[in-house]
Amino acid sequence: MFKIRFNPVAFWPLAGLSVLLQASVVHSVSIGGVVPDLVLLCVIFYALYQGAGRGLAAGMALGCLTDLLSAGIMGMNALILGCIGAGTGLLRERVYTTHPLTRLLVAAVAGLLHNLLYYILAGNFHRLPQWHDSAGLMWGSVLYTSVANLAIAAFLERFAVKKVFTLT
Amino acid sequence: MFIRKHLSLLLVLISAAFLLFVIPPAVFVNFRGTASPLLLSPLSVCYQLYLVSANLIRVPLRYRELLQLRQEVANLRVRCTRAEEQAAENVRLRELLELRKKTALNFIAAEVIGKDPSNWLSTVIINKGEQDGISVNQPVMQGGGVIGKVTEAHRHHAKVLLISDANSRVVALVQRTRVEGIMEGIGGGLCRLKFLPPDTEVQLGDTIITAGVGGVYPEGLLLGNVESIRVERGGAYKNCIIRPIARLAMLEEVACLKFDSTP
Repeated sequence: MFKIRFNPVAFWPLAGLSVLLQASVVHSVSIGGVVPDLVLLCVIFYALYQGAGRGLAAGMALGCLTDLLSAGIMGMNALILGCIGAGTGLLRERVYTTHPLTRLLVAAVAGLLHNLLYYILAGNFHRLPQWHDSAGLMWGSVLYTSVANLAIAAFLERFAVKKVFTLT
Repeated sequence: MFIRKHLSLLLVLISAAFLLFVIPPAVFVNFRGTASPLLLSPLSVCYQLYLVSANLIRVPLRYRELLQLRQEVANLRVRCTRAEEQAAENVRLRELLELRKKTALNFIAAEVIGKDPSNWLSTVIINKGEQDGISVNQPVMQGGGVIGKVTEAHRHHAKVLLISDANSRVVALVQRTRVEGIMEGIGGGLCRLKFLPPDTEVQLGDTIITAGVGGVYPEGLLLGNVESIRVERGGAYKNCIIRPIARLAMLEEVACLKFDSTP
């Protein structure tokens, strides 16, 4: 038998770094202008291990940091990532969180929701590309983010999750 | 049952959404101006890493580009000499016609230190702000082409809206035929020149320049080249897809334009 212990001290610096990388280094691995969403993947990872309440808090915190660097409306990413963190956290007791297929599907659904919510909500405040111009961008982003989640989740798991073996 | 169990989560989300829609955007911009400098130094380091990694991947391409640029420099030197002669002639003729002096251009050099984390917005952060003379609506250029304009100017940094962003609008001219249209961003590093009359003669590769209307961009700045042409359904307008001259995907140093349009 083993217990899973989450190490927030290791996770939070990596999550903070993901915001900085999202605004810089990630663009060097862009395919056709599409980049994987590292911040979203950190929120999903945290929510799947820590549940809905903490997922919501992590989503809002990382979303706020993202909003500081973005030119969009302040608080938009915080709200959307908060929703996704809470929603993913609710799945925690219903899915086998470490299975690669689960990770792939959860990231794909979360990526799709993130893009749709952003398109609907941010469209109230400023102009976004027209739907037919941006559909390729959205689906590309969903696909790239969900595939990248396999590597990112494995990386985060290595640093932030410890399996402690017990006798009982 | 489900709602009662997760009532606190719902309340937090609803109040966050309420705040977002109630608080005026200007308050958020001020908050961002105060809080974001904390992130700028580490972001600048990360962006340098990005530039190094992106350049390493492109070394063979860069070498080919270097050879092409050398050839281009040689050609441009010849053209520059001719242009100087023409400019001198132009000055003489203007004086003769007592025309007012055209806009005088000055530049403030700045470095790009970050990009927008979102896939939907095309903006960059530069390391110069109000203290260095940057102000909102100042045009920004790179490599002879316009990249966008300043939309947020804080004390030590500023945000630049790229011409490929959906929020960007520039009144533009087809240089060869002098036909005017509106150029808007469509994402993915491309723009669309709209509202050209259907009988307009536009060719692939035509150069698009600023028209100097609207008070943001002075006249005659290079914007891009026509990549494809499409006639709208019904034939009311002709649209062109424009590829900007500046390399929007990998910006390093940019020049913020200070121009005085007063006579």
